[in-house]
Amino acid sequence: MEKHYVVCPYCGAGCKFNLLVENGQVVGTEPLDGVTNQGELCLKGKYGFDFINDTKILTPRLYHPMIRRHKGDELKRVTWDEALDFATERLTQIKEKYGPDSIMLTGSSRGPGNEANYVMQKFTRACVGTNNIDNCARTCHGPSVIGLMDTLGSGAMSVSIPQMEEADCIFLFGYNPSVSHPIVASRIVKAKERGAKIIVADPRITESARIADIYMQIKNGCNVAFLNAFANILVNENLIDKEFIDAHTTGFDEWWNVIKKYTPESVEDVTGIDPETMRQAARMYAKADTSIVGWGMGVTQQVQGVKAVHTIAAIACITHQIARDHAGVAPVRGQNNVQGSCDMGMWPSLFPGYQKVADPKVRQKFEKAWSLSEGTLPGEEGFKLTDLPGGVKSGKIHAFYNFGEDPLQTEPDSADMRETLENLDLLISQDIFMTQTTALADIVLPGTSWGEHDGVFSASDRTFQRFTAAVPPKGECRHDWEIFSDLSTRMGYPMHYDNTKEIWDEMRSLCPNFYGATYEKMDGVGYAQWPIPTDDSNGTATMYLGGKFNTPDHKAILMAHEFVKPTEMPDTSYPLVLCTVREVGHYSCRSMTGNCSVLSMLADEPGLVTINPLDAEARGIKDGEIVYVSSRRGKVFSRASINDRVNKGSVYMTYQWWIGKCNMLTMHQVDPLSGTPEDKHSACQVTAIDDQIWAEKSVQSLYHDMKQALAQDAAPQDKVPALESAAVKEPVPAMV
Amino acid sequence: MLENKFVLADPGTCIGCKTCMAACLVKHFNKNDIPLPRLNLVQTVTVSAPILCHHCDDAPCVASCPVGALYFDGGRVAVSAERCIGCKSCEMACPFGAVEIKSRSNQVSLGSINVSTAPQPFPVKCDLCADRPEGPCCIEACPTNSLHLVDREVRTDNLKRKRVEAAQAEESISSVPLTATIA
Repeated sequence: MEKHYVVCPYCGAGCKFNLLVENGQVVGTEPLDGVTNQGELCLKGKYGFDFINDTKILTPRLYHPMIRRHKGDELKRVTWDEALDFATERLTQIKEKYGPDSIMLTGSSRGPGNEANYVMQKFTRACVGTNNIDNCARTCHGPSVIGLMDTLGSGAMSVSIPQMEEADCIFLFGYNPSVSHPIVASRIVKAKERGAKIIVADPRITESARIADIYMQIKNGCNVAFLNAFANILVNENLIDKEFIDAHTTGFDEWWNVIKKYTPESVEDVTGIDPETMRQAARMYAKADTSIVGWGMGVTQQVQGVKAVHTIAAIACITHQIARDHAGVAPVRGQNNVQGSCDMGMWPSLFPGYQKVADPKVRQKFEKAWSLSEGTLPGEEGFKLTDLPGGVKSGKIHAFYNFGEDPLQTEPDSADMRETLENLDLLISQDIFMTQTTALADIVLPGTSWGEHDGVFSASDRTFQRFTAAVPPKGECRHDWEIFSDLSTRMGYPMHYDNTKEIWDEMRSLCPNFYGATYEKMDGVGYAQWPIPTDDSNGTATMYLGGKFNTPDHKAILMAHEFVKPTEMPDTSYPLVLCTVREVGHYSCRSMTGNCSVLSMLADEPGLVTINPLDAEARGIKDGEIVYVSSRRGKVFSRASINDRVNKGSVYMTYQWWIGKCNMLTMHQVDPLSGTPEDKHSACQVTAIDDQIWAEKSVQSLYHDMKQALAQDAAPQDKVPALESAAVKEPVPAMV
Repeated sequence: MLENKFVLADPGTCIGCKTCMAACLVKHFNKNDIPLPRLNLVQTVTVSAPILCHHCDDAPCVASCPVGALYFDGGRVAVSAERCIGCKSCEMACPFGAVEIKSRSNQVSLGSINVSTAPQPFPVKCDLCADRPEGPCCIEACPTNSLHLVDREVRTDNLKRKRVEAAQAEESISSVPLTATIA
C-alpha cells in the first residue's frame, strides 16, 4: 500500500493526512499529526476521498476536453489542441471587440492549490490584460478580508487555530464551528475543558452554545446594532485599555460619536438581548487575560457585513484583546484554500501577497518579473464575482472563465445566475466534474483532481502546507497550471513551468511576506505561517505583536457605523426569515462530497429546512416530511427538520442541495462594500404538502432526472474524435 | 454474568459532527451487512449525543424476540439477521430506541416512507464491532474523544470516584471537629 501526504480539501482547518493507495485507486485515509489537526479528522477528512475514483454517484468526472462551437450545439469531445485553439480564438475575438475588461475570471478556492491560482491570475493580468479576477471569498469571508484590511491592515486571522485552544475566553459570533470546522470546534471543547470562558451569540442554539458560559440568542440581522451596543458597554464600564488605544489606534473620538448612542437598552428590540446579559458578556470578554473573537458567515453574509467586521476589529482593539498571543480576531475561512486564493491575488484589486494593483511601484515590480514592458499591467480594480450578473446584463462582461467553482449552485438567485451564464458570449469551465455550471459551458477543460497533483494550500490561519499527488491523472486530464500556461502561450504570452515548486518559488520571490515558505520547510507535516519574510522560522502565529498593525502608520483605524435593517424583512406573504447554513458531511457545491459513497449515504437530497416546533405546528408540518419553501425568487422542495434549537420565525436551509436548492430562494442583494450576498437574511414561506407519497416521488424523479441530464452532458467525452483515436488514453475504469 | 459493555457519549464534549456515524456506516459497509450507522445522533436543546445499544444484562429486545434473532453473546447483545422476521417487537421493547428493523435489500423507500414491505428484515443495532480487535470504531473516530467504552473497570472507577466525593462532602456535617492537620 502506498501512502501520500495531503492537506484536507474541505474546510479551512488545514488537517493533514495520508491518502492510502492500492492498485492505482485511493482506498482510504490515515490521519497525520499536522499542526492544526494533531492526528484528528472529521467525517469529511476521513471519508471524503472516493470522489477521486469517479464513483458517478452524483455526476461524472471529466476526462477529455469538449467544446460547442455554437450556442445550442451539443458538447463535442475534441483534442486539447482544438479546445485550446478554440479558447484562444474566442477570447482573442472578445478581447479585440470589447476590450480585456469584458473578460471575467474566477479562481478556485478548492482542490487546485495556490500554484494553479497564481498562474491563473498571472494569465489574467499579463495575458488577458485585466484585473477581473476574483474568488469565492466574495461570497463568504470577503467582508472579513476587506473589513480587517481597512482597520488592521491585513485581512486574515490574527491568531492561529492552535491558539484558540489556549485562549482564556472565546467569543463566537455568528459562527457554528461544529458544522463548518469540526476540528476547530474540538479545540473550543478543549479550551472549555481547560477552563476557558465561552460566549456565543447566534440565533440558533449551536453545539458551542450548549457549553457556553453566556449564550445570547440574537435576532437574525441585528449584528451591527448588537456590536455597537457591546462596544458601548465596554467604553461606559471602562473595560477599555486607554493606553493601548492612544498608542496604537486612531479615530477613537469619531468612533465613539457613533457608538455612544447605542446603549444595549436602545437596541434591545432589535437584538433581542437582555441588556444585563450583554453587559456580563462584555465584561467577560474584556476582563479575560486573553480573548479571541471568532466569526463566520453569520457576520459576513449580511448587507452590513464589512461594517460588522469593522466594529469587531474595534472591539478587539479598544480592549487590547489583540496583538498578543492567544488574543485576537478569528474569521475562520470556509473553504480549504479560500485563504490561499486571497493570498495568490485572486482579487480584483490585489496582486499575490496583498500588494495593491493601484500601486505603480508594485505594478513595475510584477512587470519586470513577468517580462512585460512598463505600463502593461492594468492599475484599475477589476470586477467582483458578484458583478457578473449585472455586468452581463449591461453588456460589460462578455466572457467568463470559471475555474473549479459552481456559481449556479453557490451564488444567490440561481434563476438569475442561469440567465447570466446563458447570456454570455463565451463560458469556459475548467473543473473535475460535470457540474451544473459546466453543463452550460462552451468550452470544458478537464483539470486534475486533488489527489492527482502537488501543491500548497493556505489554511484559514495563514498556514501554508504542502499536499502531494497520490494517483496519476485520469484520461486526458491536465494540471490546471499547465492548462493556463498552454493557453497563455497560444494567446501570445508564453508561460512554461516544469512543476509546482518552480511556480511557488517565482511567487514567493515576488511576495516578501511569503518568502520564507520554502517547499523544503513544508515537506511532510512541516508548515510555514505567513508573515514569514525569512527562511529561519515557521513564521508568525500571532500578528501585530506589540500593537504594530499593518496600516501605513501601523495604527489600527477604529470605524463605527449606524445600524441598518436587513433588506427583505418578513411580511404577510413571506413571514419567515430564511438563513442559509451548512451540512456537516457535505462541502461547497457538493460535487466532491456528493460523489463520496459514505458522505452521500449519510445525507442526501433534498436536504433539510430546520424549523422551530411552533412554526411547524402552525403550518401542519410534521418532522421529516417534504415541504415547499418559497420566496419571491422561487419555490423548492425540502425536508422539514423540526428542532427547538432554532428560533421561532426563522428557518435554516443547508446550501449544498441541488434539488432542495436554497439559492433558488435567496436574493441577489449584496453588501455594497464587499459585493457579498445577503444569504443570511431573506423572507420566505414554508408550506405543508398533503400528499407525501407524491412529494417523495417528485423529489426522487427530479433528482434522478438531474443526474441523468448531467451524465448525458458528460457523455460526449466518451466519443473519441476520429483522427486522434489512436493517441488518446482511455479513462481509468470507475471504482464504486 | 453482569459483564456487559457499552459505548456512551459525553453530551458536553460531543459536537454533533456525525463522524462516529460515518465510521460505523463504513464498518458495516460490506456484503452481508447493512451500511447504516448503529448510532443515532440526538440533539435536544441542551444535549447532543449519539444514542446506541446498552447491551443490557436483561435485555428486553432479546426477551421480546420470538425467533432468537437477538441473543446474548458473552457480555453483548448480538444479532442473527437471517432469523429476523421483522415483527418489530425489539423496537417496541428497547427503552433507548437503539434497535431498528431495516431491510437489507430490495427495499423500495421514498425518503422516510417505505412503499414496499421489507423482504429481508435486519435488526440494526450496535454490535460493539465484535470482530474488530481494536474495539468499537466509533470511539476511535470521535474527534473530541467524547465516546467511551463503559466496562466493569470504568464503572467501578466511576462509582469509587463519586463515593469518595460524596464522603468528602460530608466532612462539614461531622458532629465532632476533624483534625485539621491531616492534609
